[in-house]
Parts: sequence; C-alpha cells; structure tokens
Amino acid sequence: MDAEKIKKGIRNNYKGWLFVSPLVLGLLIFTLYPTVCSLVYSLHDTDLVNPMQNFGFQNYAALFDGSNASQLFWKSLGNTFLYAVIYIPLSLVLTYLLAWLLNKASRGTYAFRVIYYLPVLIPGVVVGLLWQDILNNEYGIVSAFLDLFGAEFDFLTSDHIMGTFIAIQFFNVGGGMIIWIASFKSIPQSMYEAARLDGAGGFQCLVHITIPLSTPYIFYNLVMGIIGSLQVFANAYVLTGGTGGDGDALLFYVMNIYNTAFDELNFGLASALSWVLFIIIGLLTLLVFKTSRWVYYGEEM
Amino acid sequence: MHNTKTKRVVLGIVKYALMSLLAVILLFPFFMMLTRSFMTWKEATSVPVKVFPESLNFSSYAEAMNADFFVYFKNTLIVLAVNVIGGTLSAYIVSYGFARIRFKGNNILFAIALSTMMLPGIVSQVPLYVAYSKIGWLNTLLPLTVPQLFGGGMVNIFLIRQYLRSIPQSYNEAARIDGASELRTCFEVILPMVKPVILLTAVNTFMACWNDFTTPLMYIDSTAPEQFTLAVGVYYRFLGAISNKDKAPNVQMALCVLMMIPSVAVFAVFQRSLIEGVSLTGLKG
Repeated sequence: MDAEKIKKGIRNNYKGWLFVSPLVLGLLIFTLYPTVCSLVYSLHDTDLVNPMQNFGFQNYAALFDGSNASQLFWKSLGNTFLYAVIYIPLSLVLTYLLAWLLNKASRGTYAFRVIYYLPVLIPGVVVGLLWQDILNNEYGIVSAFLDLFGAEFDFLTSDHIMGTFIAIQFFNVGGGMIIWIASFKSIPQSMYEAARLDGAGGFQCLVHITIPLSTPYIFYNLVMGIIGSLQVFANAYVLTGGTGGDGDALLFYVMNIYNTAFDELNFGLASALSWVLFIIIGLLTLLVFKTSRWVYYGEEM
Repeated sequence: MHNTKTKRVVLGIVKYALMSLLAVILLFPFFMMLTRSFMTWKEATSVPVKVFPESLNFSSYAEAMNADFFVYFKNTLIVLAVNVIGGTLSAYIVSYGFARIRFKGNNILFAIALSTMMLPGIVSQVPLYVAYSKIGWLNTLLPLTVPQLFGGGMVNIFLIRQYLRSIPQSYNEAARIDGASELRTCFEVILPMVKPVILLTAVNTFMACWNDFTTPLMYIDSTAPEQFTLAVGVYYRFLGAISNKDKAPNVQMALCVLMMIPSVAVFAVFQRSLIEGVSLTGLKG
C-alpha cells in the first residue's frame, strides 16, 4: 500500500525534479555546503594549513576588542554605511527623474536613453584604469582643468576619495533608469488620459499616478539597492589597487573580508565578518518589508 | 494663453539643455579613452596636458596587444563560451521545470532558491576557496565556469520563468496527447516561442561574464598569470602591485578601448531589448 503510494508519487513528480535538478545540485554544492562551512569556520581559528581549532566565539569577540581587526571592521562598516546612506536615496531619485523625463517618446528621447546607458557598459577594471588616469595629479585632465583657474584639488586623498567614488558610481545612472522606464510600461495609459481630461498637468500626473503606481518597483529597487550597496567591491578595489585608499577611506566592508581571507588567510575571522554582513542585510531587508505599507499593490478585492 | 505657451517652450529648452549637459558628462570618459589612446607616451604624460593627439598614433594599441593580452583573451573566450551557452541552456531547462511541469515542491523550491539571492556572495566565496584549493581547482578556469552550469543564476531563471508562464499550458497538453516526450516539448515546441528572453539571458550573461573581476581575482592569483582573464590580467598589469606598475597612460587607455569593444558591439546589436527591457512582470504580491 505505502510502497504503491511512493511509486505513484515518484511517477507523478520525477520529471519536474529532473528538470530542476541542476539548480538543486548547484544550491547544495555552491550555496548550502559553503554556507554551512562558513558558519563552522566563523566559530574556529582556521587557515589553509591548520585545521579548525579552538571552538568558540573569539572571531566575533575580536570585532569588539579594539584590536586591529576590530578597527578595520568598524572603519569598513562606517564607510559602507556612509556610502549606502548617500548613494541609495540620491540614485533612486535621480534615476527616477531621468526615467520620467525620458519616458515620453518625444524627439531624441531614444538617443538620450542610449547615451545615458553607455557608461553602464564600462567594465569595473576599466573604471579603475580610466579614473586613475583622469584624476592623475600630474597629467590628468581634471587637474589641468582646475589649473586654468589656479585651483588645486586632490580627488584621491582620504578626505575626498569617498566623494570621488560616489561621483564615479553616478555614471551608472542609466542602469537604474531603464528599469524604471520598463516599470512605467505597466501603468495603463488610460489613467493619464483621464487625468488630462480633468486638467491635471505633467507634475500632478507624476505625483498622483506615476509614483503611487510604481511603488512596487520603488520597493524592489530599494531592497536591491541596499543589498548591492552593502556589497560594493570591484570598483573600489580597482580604484585603490586593493588597498582601500589613503587612510582606508575607501575600505568597503567586503574589501575588508576579502583582505582578511585572501591576504591574511584568516578564514575564521573572514567568515565571522561575512555572517555579520548577512545578518545586517537580513535585518535591514526585514525592516524595509515591515515598513512597506506605502507600497501599492493594486485594489484589494 | 500666450504666456503659458512661452513658459512651456522655455521649460522645454531648459530640459533639453540639462539633458544634453548630462549626456556630455556621461560621454566624457569615452572621449578621454579614445583621444588618449591615440597619443604617444610622451604626449600622454606631457605637462601642460594635451587634449588631442598630434596625429592618430596606433602604437599604444600595438603595445597593449602583447603576447600576454592574447593569452588572457583566449581564457576569457573560453569562460564566455561555457557560461553563455551552458549557463543559458541550464537556466532554460530549470525554468522550464518550474514554469511548465507540475510537481510536488515546485513553489517551495522556487521560493527557497529565490531567497538565496539575499545571501551575500562573500559568505560562500571564502569556503569555496578552501574547497577549490583542496580539489586543485585554484588557478584554473573551473571556478569561473562550472558553477554557472548549475542553473545559470537565479536572476536568469526568474526572468525566463516569468516569460514561460505567459504561454498557455494548452501547448504542453497538445504535445503530450501527440505523444511527445517532455524533453522534446521543451526544446521543439516551447523553446522557439521564448527566443527573445533566451537571447536576452545570453546577452546579460555575456556582459556579466566579460565584466567579472571579482571571481577571477579570488580564485586565480598572480602566480598563475597564464590563467588570467582579461579583467584581472589588465588589473595586475597596471593597478596591482605598485612595484611593477606599467606607467603608460596611452597603453592603459588603449586597453580600455579594447575592452569596451565587445560590450559596445553586443550592445549595438541588442540595444532595443536591453534599453526597452523585458519588464519585470509579476513583482506584485
């Protein structure tokens, strides 16, 4: 009886599981296994040569004890939050405005969209090569330009490098912009037509139709923005040659983990740092979900 | 009446002026890349700074494309080929399973898989490094290719699944009645109908793979330069260890231009679908 049931269960379901089996295997091998390992490492002293020893919370405690590791932890956490707090809201607003301006199919709109998107195509390593040259003190074009006015400004010192980096990141506005433009397509044109008949202007349409109806996408982009900003790595790594810049002013959280793991080969501490990041991302995402009453999911039935 | 019309015209002019200004700013890096790549070393490092080269000089390109360059390029092509073809195919098969086949655990598995996107990449990257070192995968191209074959990435699966769900299930039923196997239905009936999203997935994978700097940086170190992809190869040549930094801005810019060519070419061909985007349907609820 039971065997019959199991047989039937297998017969009805095996095809589906066969098709998704690559993903299942992938999740087990490349996600679940390393995640469990990471948790175990974080509770041990471990490097590539020595097997795991000294079970305990010492790696987590080391983040609070004023040691070099804890200083780097707080420094990189501070830098990353500073970046996220400035970059996420500014880029959401700016990309949204651009999308709104370029949403209507007027003359030249498409050309503008293409131009704004082009910098998104620049690979991270090229971003580093490029801006190191443009901002070079001796032969860089920007310092030459400032020289015309007798001004001098070093973009890569510890006081300025974060601002410089955020400015460089803003060359990617086109990426966010096209997501908004795609989302605007889901808003029925009839709503705008009705609003226009009632005498609403372009700005009123934006505030009363476009923004409320795109809140699910605003929500999605906010969550993705948080997850992405807290994991900034490649562009900052390349720009500073992996050092985190003058006075670690551009040392991002994941860069610190990278250096801890791959330069110092301290896998225990690196794993503990990774889990702290995971918990921070989880808590922030939860917070956004809990406060998501402003998101409009259409009329409730 | 007349007044509001003037106001609108003025506003329009201001709007175009601002948008043009932004366009100039965003194109400025491309201009710098191009103009400096045609300079000689002397021109590129001269003070006062030159904006245009005296003549179109291709020597920096010749210098950029040294023997190492072609080794890196070959490695990059291998990674690209495996990921674009294998990754896309894998993503399609998995998405087909989720969207077109009813089986127990379908929705739960999909939810679990989606939730792993919240997991920071670095959590698994550190233990994977240890695992790769044990099985001898470090300093090979395997860490850059093999994982991609297992589903091709959740973003792609999500996108293809959304698209597949918009096709009526009656196609599958008809194929079943005709006695076609599931695999045949998958590739001969449904695949031709979802070509646009498959193409978009392939293009997205190409871009991600071409730009990927982090993965090769982690799993291929400077003791194995013959395994570098272009991204890390270029990095170590100009930006890595300060001691052997190649100080030649004109060559550096020529490499920037060379690395932009494939991205821009792919973009030029597929610009419509990249710019217009396949809208992120199904975000609701």
